[in-house]
Amino acid sequence: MGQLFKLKKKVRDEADSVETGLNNPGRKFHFDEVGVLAAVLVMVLLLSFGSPYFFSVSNLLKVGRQVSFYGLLTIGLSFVIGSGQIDISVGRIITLVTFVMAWLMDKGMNPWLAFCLGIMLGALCGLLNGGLSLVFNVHPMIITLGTTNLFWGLAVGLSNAKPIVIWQESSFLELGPGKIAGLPVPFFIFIVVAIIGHILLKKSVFGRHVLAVGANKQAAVFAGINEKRIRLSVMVMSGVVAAIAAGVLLSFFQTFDPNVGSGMEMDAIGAAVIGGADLNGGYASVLGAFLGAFLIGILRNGLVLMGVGAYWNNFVTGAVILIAVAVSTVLKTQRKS
Amino acid sequence: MSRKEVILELKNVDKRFGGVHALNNVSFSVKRGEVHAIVGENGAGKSTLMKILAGNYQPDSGKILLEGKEINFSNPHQAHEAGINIIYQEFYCFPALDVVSNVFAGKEISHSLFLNDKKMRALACDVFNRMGVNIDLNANVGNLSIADQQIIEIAKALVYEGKIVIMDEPNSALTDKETKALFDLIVRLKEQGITILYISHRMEEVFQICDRITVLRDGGYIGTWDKNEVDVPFAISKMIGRKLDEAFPKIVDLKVNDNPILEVRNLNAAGKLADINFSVRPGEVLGFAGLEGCGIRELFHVLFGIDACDSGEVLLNGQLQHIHFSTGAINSGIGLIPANRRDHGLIMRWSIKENISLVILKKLLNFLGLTNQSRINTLSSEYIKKLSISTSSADKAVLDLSGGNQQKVVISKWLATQPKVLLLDDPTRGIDVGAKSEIYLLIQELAKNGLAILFNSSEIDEVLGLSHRVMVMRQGRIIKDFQHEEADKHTVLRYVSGDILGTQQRESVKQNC
Repeated sequence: MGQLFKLKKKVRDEADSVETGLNNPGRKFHFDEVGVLAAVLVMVLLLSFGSPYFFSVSNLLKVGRQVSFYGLLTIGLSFVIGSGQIDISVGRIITLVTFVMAWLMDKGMNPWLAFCLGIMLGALCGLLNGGLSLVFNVHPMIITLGTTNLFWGLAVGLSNAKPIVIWQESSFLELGPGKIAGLPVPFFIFIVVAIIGHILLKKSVFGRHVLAVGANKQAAVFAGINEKRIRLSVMVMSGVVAAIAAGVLLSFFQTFDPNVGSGMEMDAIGAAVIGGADLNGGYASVLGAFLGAFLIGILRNGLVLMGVGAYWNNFVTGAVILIAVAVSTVLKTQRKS
Repeated sequence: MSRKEVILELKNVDKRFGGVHALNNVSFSVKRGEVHAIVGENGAGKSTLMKILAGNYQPDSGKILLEGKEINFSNPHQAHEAGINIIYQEFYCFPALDVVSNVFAGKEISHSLFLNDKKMRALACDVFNRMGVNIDLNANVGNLSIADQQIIEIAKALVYEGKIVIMDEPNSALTDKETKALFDLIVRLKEQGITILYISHRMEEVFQICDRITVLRDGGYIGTWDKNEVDVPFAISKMIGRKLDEAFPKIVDLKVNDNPILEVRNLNAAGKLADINFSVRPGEVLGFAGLEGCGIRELFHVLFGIDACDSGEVLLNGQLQHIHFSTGAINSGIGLIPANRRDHGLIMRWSIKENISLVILKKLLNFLGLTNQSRINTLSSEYIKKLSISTSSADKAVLDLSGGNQQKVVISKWLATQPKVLLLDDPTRGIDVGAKSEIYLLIQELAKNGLAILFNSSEIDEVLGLSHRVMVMRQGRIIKDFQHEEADKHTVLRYVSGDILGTQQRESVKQNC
């Protein structure tokens, strides 16, 4: 009897530990993450039946690489959304930073140095986003809507909307197409950044403060948290992560294209929300966002392999994002009541 | 007058929420034109009952008769149509809209497509006149004080001709003067034949304003009494099911030779605080009395570093402090339990343990510099036990706790920082009698262990009952300082209300002349 009771209690505790996601930012696994993982697995299964080419190591690694670019953005965005803000300029930070890096490399600068300067520029872009929002007390949605055009206009204006091809020989440019531990380098970097982000958001004091500010700004202030500094830091983080993504993109494609980064912010926000991030702030999950990015990535890839054209591909992807969000919302409300 | 007809009758009303039996077979009746108090501890079922009457919830079983006809509201709009209006305790306003728009939110008057602003203004004007309050109809509600917002909430319910008005702690944010105006209004409404269901924790005012009193306990109906038949101790004993011990614990004597732990010298903040001087010793409970906006809250916020001051010195243990951000205050050993528990004190949807650990997270790290879950668990279970927070688990969201337990979580959060000085700003607001007396005991226990406590309360009896010294504040100044023995309620209240001017104030009046 005692044994059975203990077992029951254990099962119940584990069920609790999955269920009380919103209450406990420090928990190991949340309901959303388990849900997205299940959705990813179901999708892999379905697409494997849909196309014989889908379930192969080389194809899945290719998906991993494709996912990495906007996947990196989604990690920065998890912090931004968790703090109750939004950054829709990340796609255009990529355009601007890629241009500046390509231009510097074209002028003969060491690519690694150009990459470092690019990251600083990304930080500066984030600082501008966060700073303007704080100084004028305007919602970051509006600020980043403005800076989106600012960054894009700057990149296109300075480049005359012409591509720049990098001809330099450098270890930096061999990085993108290369592999580490059998994984494409962009994918490897994505995983590393995701792990760091996950630990930072769930386990560090900073991460907890980010979520506290997102959940209740005033209570955070009364708990001695410098909410302005937190809000600024996450915007800077988002800019830095976007700049890293820009560097990875450039080293892979070896070309600056004025359209690079376009629309990536939407996939990135979608992935974060599928992963459980609450756009009202107070909750986000890097693990969930990581899986969310995969969900979108394998779907796009699988549809291409099944011969679905690019236009309908967007339609189906959009529909799946909506369904994922709807299902997760319905389940969340049911659990609450 | 004596044989009034029954307007509202409840028969065997039952409501469950999951495993909680919120209302257990409740039956009673309300007469037309009476002020009927519903009292009980938190969780007794008062709010559930009112929400059923207002159409927010539907009963699982039982009947409700309004003027003899059975009613079955599926939403608040239907209740409103039937003539039942409610003033919520936790009210919601639209801060970006003006006063008139707020009064008519959701019930706007229009001709065809367009809003009838003129009529709404006239009606709003009328209702505020009837209430005897002066309010700028064009003001944005977000810029008004909590008290004014509460007045608007009351106006919302009164602007329509209703049969029954339900008031759920309508004066929890009002000053004494505004409360008096509210009571005058209740008397007038009663004369007009309107029935009032009045919910409150404050027994004195229940006896002052109500005709009959119904007591609920743990979801069950205990009884209804005519106010003249019973007294306050009787009602309280019915509410808690036992006799309440002496309301306030006996005050412990202070050690004579202790130096002050906190000293404040010549503190000034433009428009808020003027010339504040005082000191407090370890183990001392220093009470503050004053009206809303008199500067007590502002003083606490300056000491805690939320607000800035213009000049003055704060000394902790004899050392000068530069507190310009709350982190500074926390590091120096000052903790603040804010008056607004829901917005300032807690992150409502987070669990108990996440809330308790939030401020001292930096001290709960493992060797990698990351938060250590097991240390968080140990800390929270320690405080759940110490303050007897009643909950099934430390993982429960504080949203699901009663007001008293929520307040204990806030206090735990600050005790965990091991403060030397604790600022308690109205810690018993909106919590039930049982939890209140637990908080009193806790305050005394903390003081006995050497903590200096600055204590403010909207209930003057609490300040007088718990404090070694009482300081009266008015218009940003400390105008009088009482020892516990000499602080009798009548005198203190005369200072609080400005009936007697304190020394400093008299001087400033002279200077102005």
